[in-house]
Amino acid sequence: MATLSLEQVTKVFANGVEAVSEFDLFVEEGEFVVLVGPSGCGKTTLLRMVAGLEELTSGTIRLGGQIVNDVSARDRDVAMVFQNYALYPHLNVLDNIAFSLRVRGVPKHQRHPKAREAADVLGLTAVVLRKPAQLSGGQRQRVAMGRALVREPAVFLMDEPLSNLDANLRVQMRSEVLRVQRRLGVAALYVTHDQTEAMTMGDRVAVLRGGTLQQLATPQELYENPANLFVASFIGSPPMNLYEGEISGSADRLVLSLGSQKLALPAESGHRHRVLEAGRGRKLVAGIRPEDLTVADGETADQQATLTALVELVELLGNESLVHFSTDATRVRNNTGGAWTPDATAHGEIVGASAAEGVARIDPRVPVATGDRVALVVDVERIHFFDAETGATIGATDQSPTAPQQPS
Amino acid sequence: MSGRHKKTAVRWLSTLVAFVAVAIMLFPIYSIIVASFESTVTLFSTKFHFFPYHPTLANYQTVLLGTQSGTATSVTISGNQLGHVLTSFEIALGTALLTLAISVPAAYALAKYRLRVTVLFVGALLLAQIVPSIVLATSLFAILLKTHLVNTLPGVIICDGTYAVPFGILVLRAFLFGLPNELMHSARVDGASEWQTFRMIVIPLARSAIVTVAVFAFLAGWGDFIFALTTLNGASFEPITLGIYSFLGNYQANWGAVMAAGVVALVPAAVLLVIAQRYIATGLTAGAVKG
Repeated sequence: MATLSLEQVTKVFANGVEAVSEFDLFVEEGEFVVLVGPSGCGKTTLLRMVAGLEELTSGTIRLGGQIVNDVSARDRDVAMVFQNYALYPHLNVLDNIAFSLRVRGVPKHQRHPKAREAADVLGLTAVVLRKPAQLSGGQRQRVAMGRALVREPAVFLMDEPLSNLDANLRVQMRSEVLRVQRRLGVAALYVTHDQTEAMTMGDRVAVLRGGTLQQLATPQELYENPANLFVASFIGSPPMNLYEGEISGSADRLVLSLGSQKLALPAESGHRHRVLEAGRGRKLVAGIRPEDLTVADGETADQQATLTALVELVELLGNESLVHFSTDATRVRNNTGGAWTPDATAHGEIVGASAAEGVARIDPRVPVATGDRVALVVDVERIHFFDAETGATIGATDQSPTAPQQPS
Repeated sequence: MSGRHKKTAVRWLSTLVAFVAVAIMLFPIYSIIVASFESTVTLFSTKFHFFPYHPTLANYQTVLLGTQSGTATSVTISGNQLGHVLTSFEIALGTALLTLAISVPAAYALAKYRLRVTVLFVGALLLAQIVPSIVLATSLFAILLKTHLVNTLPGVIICDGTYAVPFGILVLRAFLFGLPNELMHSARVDGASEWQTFRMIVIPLARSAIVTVAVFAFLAGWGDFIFALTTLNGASFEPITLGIYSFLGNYQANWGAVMAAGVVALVPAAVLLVIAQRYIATGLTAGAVKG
């Protein structure tokens, strides 16, 4: 058992691509940290560097205080679950689980009981003599974890271990993975591209993009106080509605313009307010979470804080309705372009790319139909503001490490 | 014609084609077997007999017991061929072992380690396959002469290896490419050394390919004639291929005995192939990674 620390870890591949740059991370003993980001953000490279399968270009990795940069994978004492499980096809479940003990010279009569115990914990008792080919996806996944469980590794690494499972099993295995990690009681590093997995599993979540750390915080903190536009758009499903906006008005009565519509901002005296005030007349990005929008019931509608929108589509989910609407405000896609856009991954193109769309999460009992023109009340206290150029959150007061958005 | 009928027809047709092809390929062997029961005189008749016209075991007597039968007109009186079969077996086994010892580790290294010379090396291997063995024979003889390996079993085995080893490397390398790298990485993270990974993961998984290469190398050693002829110059032992040759004299040839010796040479190889067949062509990596 040990802590894991990464200092200024950088990886430049032979072809010159910088996969990870100056990455810092500290994982406590027993802590579960998730690395999340779009594909190609360097998270798997990072994990492989910790495992010892990839060399560092510069920086330091410490396990339990000891620098392990030059320690080979076999001597690092890490357990790793691979995305495709990497089970040894010629060995049965028991021998797969016991393999790490076998290579360490543990005799059969000692390693088999241990492997059997791990198999019991994971509910594999009935299939211990089967070969991987005879197992279901979920069972293979469990065997892969059993291999980690049977050892007492210094750190537990997982590279998208659930991505090959179907949706139901994935949800179920999330808690199993956590159970195994709690049982091991070691530092765990978990890589995923699925923000839901990151939010539900991580004690802390590190959001990566283009090889740089965007934000490292608890799931709640990431959601409520995203450090920048990227984190804001990546975390949350459906994602935050992001519009191009402009601040105007007097110091005690700031007004946010979204397209032709204006929202009055509450008078506050905080740091953010002063920054907003100073930035009057400049373009910025305003972010509104879908749940911070409600449908006005007509009479009590506060004209100062409503957006008039055209309902394009209503998705009834039972406990809530997702109302897709359009306004004349300019929707902001991920500002640096690239392969990933929140719109494309979350919803596809529902209306023409030119139309500004948004999503509101509302009470399903509120009658809203496609084609309606509705007034959406905005919880103005909870609007997020981002610098239109750097993407950084405007007036962020927390001290969580943030990195400026660097187009990769 | 409905699609289903068409499908059935295609299947019947392809089966028929395959059947004809197999029949054509196996016909020489069939005719050797028939001929091995004939006297040389009958063999030279103008009519081909699908069944032995005058069945006789005289040829097998010559081959197995070394005695000269009454009808045989061989000029060279050779001893029985069983000793030759044993020698062939030794050469074939030696070739198989040598080939495995070199090609399995070599193929692993060439498949899994990225080296600059890999491309050149593989190209050289292909080139080695192209050069006919008769061309190599002369220079190999010179080398064996210098290393005092002429007329020795290791000498023949090394010569046969020049053919089997490159082939083995190419086949195994192609197979090992298909082995997921994650398996090796996983073994390493599990604490296995390179050697342990090779022994406990790679070799068991490559079993079918290794058997294929071993069988091929064995048959190359078994069937070799050129290298045995050039490197064994009056040695006390000879493989069956040279044994057969001895029935062919300058003035007369005992073709019946040649045929019988051919059948004797054929049987062990055929038995080996049948035994090895179930290892060949099976994909063992099923279930390693997501299926």
